[in-house]
Amino acid sequence: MERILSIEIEHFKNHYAGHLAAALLLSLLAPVIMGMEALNQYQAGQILDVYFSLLGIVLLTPLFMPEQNKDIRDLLASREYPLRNIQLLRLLQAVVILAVLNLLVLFQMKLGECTFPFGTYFWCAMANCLFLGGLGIFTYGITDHLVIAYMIPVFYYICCYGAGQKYLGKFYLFSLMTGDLENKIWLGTAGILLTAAGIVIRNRKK
Amino acid sequence: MFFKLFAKECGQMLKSLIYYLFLAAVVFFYVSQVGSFTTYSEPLKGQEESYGIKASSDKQQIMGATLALLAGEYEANSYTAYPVGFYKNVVLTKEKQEKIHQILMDCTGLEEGYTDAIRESSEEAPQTEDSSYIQIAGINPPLLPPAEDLSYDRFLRYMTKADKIIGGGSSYASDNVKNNAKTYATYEDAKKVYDASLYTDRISRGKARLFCDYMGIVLGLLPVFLAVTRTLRDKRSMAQEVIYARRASSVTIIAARYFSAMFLTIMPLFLLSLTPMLQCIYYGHQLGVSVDVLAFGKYILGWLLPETAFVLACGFFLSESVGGPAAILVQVVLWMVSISTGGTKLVGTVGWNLIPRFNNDQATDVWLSVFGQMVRNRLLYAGLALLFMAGTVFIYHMKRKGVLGGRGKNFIHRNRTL
Repeated sequence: MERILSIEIEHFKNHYAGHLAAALLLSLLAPVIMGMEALNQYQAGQILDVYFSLLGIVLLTPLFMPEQNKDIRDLLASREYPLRNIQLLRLLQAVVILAVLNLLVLFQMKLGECTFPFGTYFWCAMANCLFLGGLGIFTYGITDHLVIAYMIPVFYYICCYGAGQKYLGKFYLFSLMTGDLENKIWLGTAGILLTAAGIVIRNRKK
Repeated sequence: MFFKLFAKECGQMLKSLIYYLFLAAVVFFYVSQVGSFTTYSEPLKGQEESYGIKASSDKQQIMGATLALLAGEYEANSYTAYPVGFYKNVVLTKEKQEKIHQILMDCTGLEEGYTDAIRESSEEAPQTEDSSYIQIAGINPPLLPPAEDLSYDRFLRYMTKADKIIGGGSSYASDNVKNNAKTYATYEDAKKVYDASLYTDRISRGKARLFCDYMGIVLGLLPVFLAVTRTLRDKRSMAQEVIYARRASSVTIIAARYFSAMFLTIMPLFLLSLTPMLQCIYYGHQLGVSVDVLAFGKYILGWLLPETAFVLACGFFLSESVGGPAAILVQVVLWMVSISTGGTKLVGTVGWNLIPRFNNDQATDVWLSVFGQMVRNRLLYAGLALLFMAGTVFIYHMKRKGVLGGRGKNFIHRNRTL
């Protein structure tokens, strides 16, 4: 337990504080940029789909950043505690922070007297974030290139702005705006699978 | 020295995976968005289909419709606005509501009873040959009659004031007011639009605008990844110090990187535009219209080049000064705000937007009316790009000198000059 805590704290202090600051800033700026008062469920869904989803890229994608340098990766791999476990602990930290920020945005909307199903929207927002973040982690695992890892989910997000619904089907991100909740199950599942695949691929590489 | 470095930088980028991913993304976006070539349909007198809708030019109707809208929102104390493109329901304080009430009183001469004073528009929908009406939702809106002595200029001043009270981006902003009253287009209107597309735009200019509108969406963001990759490459390969110690000046090194990235971003657009250009020439030949064969080139250089220049410069500057992920995040937020500004209005949203929208291959009169804004907008971004690049050179030079970046002095050959 002590080791786990130490890993989490060190990671947070040395690598994650900047990402958290950016994500927190985005969450706090949400009411200023978009307005969170008296929204109906579709308008509230728009905020989560279009705005909050981006936090998945910010918080989840840089999962392998601390060992971006091959020498550090080799050093960590030589340690007794498996590198995969360290990555899983980082992932847990990212998901917890994401969930807290998600609650923060949802509470802000509730305070603004917006009408929406709180619990359902929490999971829907998490599904979007997990999908975009998972896409980033998967790409990072394959390419070992942080910029490409950011680029692919960002481009996916852009596609959803265009004719995405037509081409992306069940993986269309902005479905809360139209009241379609089924997509989120697909997105959430795909997000978990992509994250798992990304971690496996990354750790198989020498 | 510059050209040698420029060629080397181009060679480096042509070998990088991210450049090909960038190309794939641009081509995918082009294929999925711009799609196939659509011809213009010539309006026929007495045709069954509607000639479409247009913003009303009747000032009384614009004033009436806008005031009816304002009165409705005032009575519900619920104002719809898109300050940065996203829907915002604005609820005003008592004092601000009082100010809106004052505006309504000045514009209508009525102290209360606005709902009762609102009347339906008297304009009828056009009839087809079998006497049935063509109905299109959202036009010929209800009207609240303005005061008799209210001039259109004064009305506009009041509406600008109301928009400011609401916080901007409302239906009362001077750019949006004329969209509050829409009406049915006539045969003459439709013919004018068709003729303008053929003879003023010479087909290709309208198509080039649509091309730039779509490509501007991806170019407002994706080039930042090329800039960040280039900046991080030295760090990744741990070649920073080796390059710092080279004879080339900081200006030459950064300029070579920047212009090579810009060159390789813009060149594929010229290639992509060849297909729609050839289609325009063929279509023009069929109609006997002289097509502007340089239209795509001119629009790419005037519209997309400043945008790309800015995104790359911003990416180089931020990744050199703050770090790669920060540069990407800033650009994503900037992109999101730009793309959303204007709300649902996709034709003629220019202002100071990084990504101006003109999602229509016709609407020549709208284009001509926003052309001045567009020129100022693009000049601004070209200027900002130059500033950011100057900043990048300065930071890079400071790193070389050892002032920034926590390293010692890296110069061997050069001491003072940039």
